[in-house]
Amino acid sequence: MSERFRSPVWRQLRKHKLAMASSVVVLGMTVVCMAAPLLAPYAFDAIDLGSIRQAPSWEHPMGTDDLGRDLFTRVLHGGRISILIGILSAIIGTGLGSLIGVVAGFYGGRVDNLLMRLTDVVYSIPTLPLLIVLSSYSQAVISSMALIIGLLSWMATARVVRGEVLAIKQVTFVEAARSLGASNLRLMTRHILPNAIGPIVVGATLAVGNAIILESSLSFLGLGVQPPTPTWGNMLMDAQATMATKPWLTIFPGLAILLVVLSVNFIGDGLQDALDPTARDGTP
Amino acid sequence: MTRPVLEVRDLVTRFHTDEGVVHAVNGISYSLSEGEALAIVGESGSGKTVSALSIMGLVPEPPGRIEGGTAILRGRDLLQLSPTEWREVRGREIAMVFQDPMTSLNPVLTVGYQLTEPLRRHLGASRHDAVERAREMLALVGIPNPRQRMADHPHQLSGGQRQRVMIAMALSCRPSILIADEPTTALDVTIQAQIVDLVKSLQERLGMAIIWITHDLALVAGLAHRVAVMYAGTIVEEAPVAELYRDPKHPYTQGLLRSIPRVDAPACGPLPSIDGQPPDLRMDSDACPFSPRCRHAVEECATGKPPLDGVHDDHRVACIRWRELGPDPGVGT
Repeated sequence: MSERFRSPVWRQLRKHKLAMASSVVVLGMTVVCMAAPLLAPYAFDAIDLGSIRQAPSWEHPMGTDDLGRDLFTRVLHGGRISILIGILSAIIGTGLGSLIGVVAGFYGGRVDNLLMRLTDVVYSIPTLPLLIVLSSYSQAVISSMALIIGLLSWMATARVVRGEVLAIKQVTFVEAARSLGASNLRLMTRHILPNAIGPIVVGATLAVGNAIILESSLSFLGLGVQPPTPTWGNMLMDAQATMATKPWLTIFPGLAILLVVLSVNFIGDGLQDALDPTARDGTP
Repeated sequence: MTRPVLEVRDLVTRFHTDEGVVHAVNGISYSLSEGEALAIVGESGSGKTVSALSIMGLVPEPPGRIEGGTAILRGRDLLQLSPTEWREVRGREIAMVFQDPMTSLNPVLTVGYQLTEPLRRHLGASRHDAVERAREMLALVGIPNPRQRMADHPHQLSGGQRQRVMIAMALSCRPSILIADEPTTALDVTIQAQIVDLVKSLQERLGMAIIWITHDLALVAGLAHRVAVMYAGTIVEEAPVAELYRDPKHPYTQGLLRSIPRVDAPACGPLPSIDGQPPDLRMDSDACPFSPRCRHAVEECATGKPPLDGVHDDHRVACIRWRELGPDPGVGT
């Protein structure tokens, strides 16, 4: 009975064809990558010095790298880490950013000042040195790397959400809800945040791509995932020098990142429409 | 009609802004009996909304602050409540309907969710009971097809329907007081009349007391039992509605009534208006606040704020000269 007025979001999301197709892509890529040990034609660290830097062929569908390792295999294996880190850290960063943003915007005054100055401080610290410091204290496992990256990418979300909240809390419905006895927590979570979901979702989808790239910088510095374990990021880094002459080394990991980030963006787009009741066509 | 449900005494609310202290409400007192409809009338900035927000605990703090007075609801002083106690009172004891129905419902939540939220919160109703009750409330406020409307979002309703939903939300927990803050200002005239009729009939059925805040004296004629006229943060006159119309004592009330077009009066020239501007509320003067605009002002008016003086039992007026001025020839019948 109550479902009738509670969950039109999923129904609406299903109508968004691009978002549904993108969900299939992301899900499919995740599954394939997770199953990499079973699906990949070679071992990801199998060096074959007899066939280095080969262009794509039937034997090596994406070619081979400097050490003759099969690129297709490495893209599959790399995805295991990149996708997880990308999505996990986007969730962590967006969650933290939304929390800080909504508290700052809602309470205003001193709380706002404190939280926003904190945001400024974290923003002003160059990311890379901080990443290096943090990751030297932790192990290069997916969860801690996602956490670290998430902890360094909430600031933009916090600022955007705060701005939204400042505007939303002025609208009468907040006071109306308060006049009916809603608590501050309830006002923030049920009444204000859902109205700010658009920019939050957009920020989250962008964060996925950023996180994948950030992870690669860490790996490049030897602080993230260690070679020979591949990630899309460190594969791109490795291929930088030979981009002009051996383009497949950059194209395939790059395409993989593009596909995931683009799909996540489309999903975000669909979510945004689905969560905004005024964008729904006709009767629900 | 006799037992007071709310007693407001000497309520003072001020806003401490960068440009100075705004004296929004300067010691107003009134009482509200059970089942009574009190209209608070005044122009923009006269403090009528702030006085209502004060007894809801909704004055934004800072910059606002309630600096004095009491508001006794069923033996409890509202102004001394803790935030938690306030939440129990809001929606349960006192509920409010706001001016603009287009913005007073949350656009991303369904009508059903917003209606059931206070029910589940205050009455601890189960989801099923809350839905049932919410549907009854929608039917009660004259929303056709309540079952379907519950699944709608606010943008799918018209302005009048939204205001009906707001009224349903406000009354769902059967509060003893309903504060209506110009609930018809944003609606067109025919809908205005419907909303007024609706509130009136709901009052007869549910028996709550109403504080109806408006700048429209004509609107309250058919609705209120008593009218309090506010000017510059003070109540200048308070009387039963018929008496206020028939025999207004305060020069400001007389001016207000003269400025309303009448069907039964011969149309001759433009409607009279009150010259001048309302005072700057940042000045805290001792004079009668209306004296600079008053046609009958004398020197004495500048020497002290006139107290509310009883014309008789339930007619009070804050003017030192009301006795000598007599009935206003321009109004009344």
